[in-house]
Amino acid sequence: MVQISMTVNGKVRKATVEPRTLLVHFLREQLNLTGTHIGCDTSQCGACTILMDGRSVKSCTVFTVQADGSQIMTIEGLAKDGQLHPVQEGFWEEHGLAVRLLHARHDPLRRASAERDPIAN
Amino acid sequence: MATAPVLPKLVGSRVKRREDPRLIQGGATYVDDLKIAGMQYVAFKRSDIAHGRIRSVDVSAAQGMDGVEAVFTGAQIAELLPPMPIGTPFRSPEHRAVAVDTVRYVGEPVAVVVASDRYVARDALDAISVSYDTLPAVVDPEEALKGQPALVHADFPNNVALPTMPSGTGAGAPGKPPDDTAINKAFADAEVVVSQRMFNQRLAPSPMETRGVVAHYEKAKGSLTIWSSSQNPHMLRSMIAGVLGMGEDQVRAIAP
Repeated sequence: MVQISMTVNGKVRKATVEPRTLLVHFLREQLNLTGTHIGCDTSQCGACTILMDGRSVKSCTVFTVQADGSQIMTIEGLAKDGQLHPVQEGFWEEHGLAVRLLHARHDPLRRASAERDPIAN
Repeated sequence: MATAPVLPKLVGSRVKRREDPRLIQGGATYVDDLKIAGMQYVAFKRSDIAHGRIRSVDVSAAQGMDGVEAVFTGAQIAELLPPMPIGTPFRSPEHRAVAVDTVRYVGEPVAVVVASDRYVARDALDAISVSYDTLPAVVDPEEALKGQPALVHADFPNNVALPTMPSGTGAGAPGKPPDDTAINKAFADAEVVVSQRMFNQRLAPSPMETRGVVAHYEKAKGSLTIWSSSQNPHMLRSMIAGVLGMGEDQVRAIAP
């Protein structure tokens, strides 16, 4: 077991994890941040996308220990003070998630990251 | 004088979806998000061959692992559960939840592990060893209709489960072949007949929320609650109740 510490959506989180614990399982099962999803188990779908030190990564392909000391943002941390992020607003406004599925979560984060949006600051 | 009620103007106007705020903020509930105190995890040992007879399933190493609650083979499950309902009124091959003596596709479950943690459950799968007598795989539909290279189900000759004719071709009397007179005449009288051989790719419905289920059995009440990534919770409730020998009032199915 390994001691780790990371900042998740602005809060410092400390925990003890198995070295093999995937970051997506740590976020979902230990921190209860279930907005990050597992869609494929093969690292293709992007449903588990989060921001790690400002860059988008697939959290199903990152070990929790690799994220030790990093700044993590999940979809739950994207809206600020009750205000949706402009990308979230855009998805709502333009029916960007008409399929009602996990695009709901990962696309806003991926796009926010791709556009080098200041959310990572 | 009464004031006319103000009706929401929906037709012709832009309407934002009410469910979107929770979906775009990660606040929706999917089956895998649910946790119940004392919850155990299930994992399935699956066939890695397309067709074969199961020679043996050795679960002894998996059973002894720390955190493993139970391991079941298909034969053990068959003692506990009747065949699964198929949901059609037609004659169907017997469908077991877990393969008993034959596997018929890659991925068919052959054993089940129940464990305290999903990682332990997956470890236990690796400790199960299954040996098969491999049979020829049926991959070509036209060959399959000749019963070649094998029958998927022994009591369905030529691999045909259900012969159907397009409507309007004239069904035959019971036990008789369909009457094609009308459609043959229509083709014979047609000015142009286009003949084409068409191929369709295999369809694999792949929802982003993959198949999953959480079940909570309350022993004292004899009641079962199931959360399933299903679009048919009512049918699910009825079928689960039937298979488990429970009353429909004892089973609640929720599609979260």
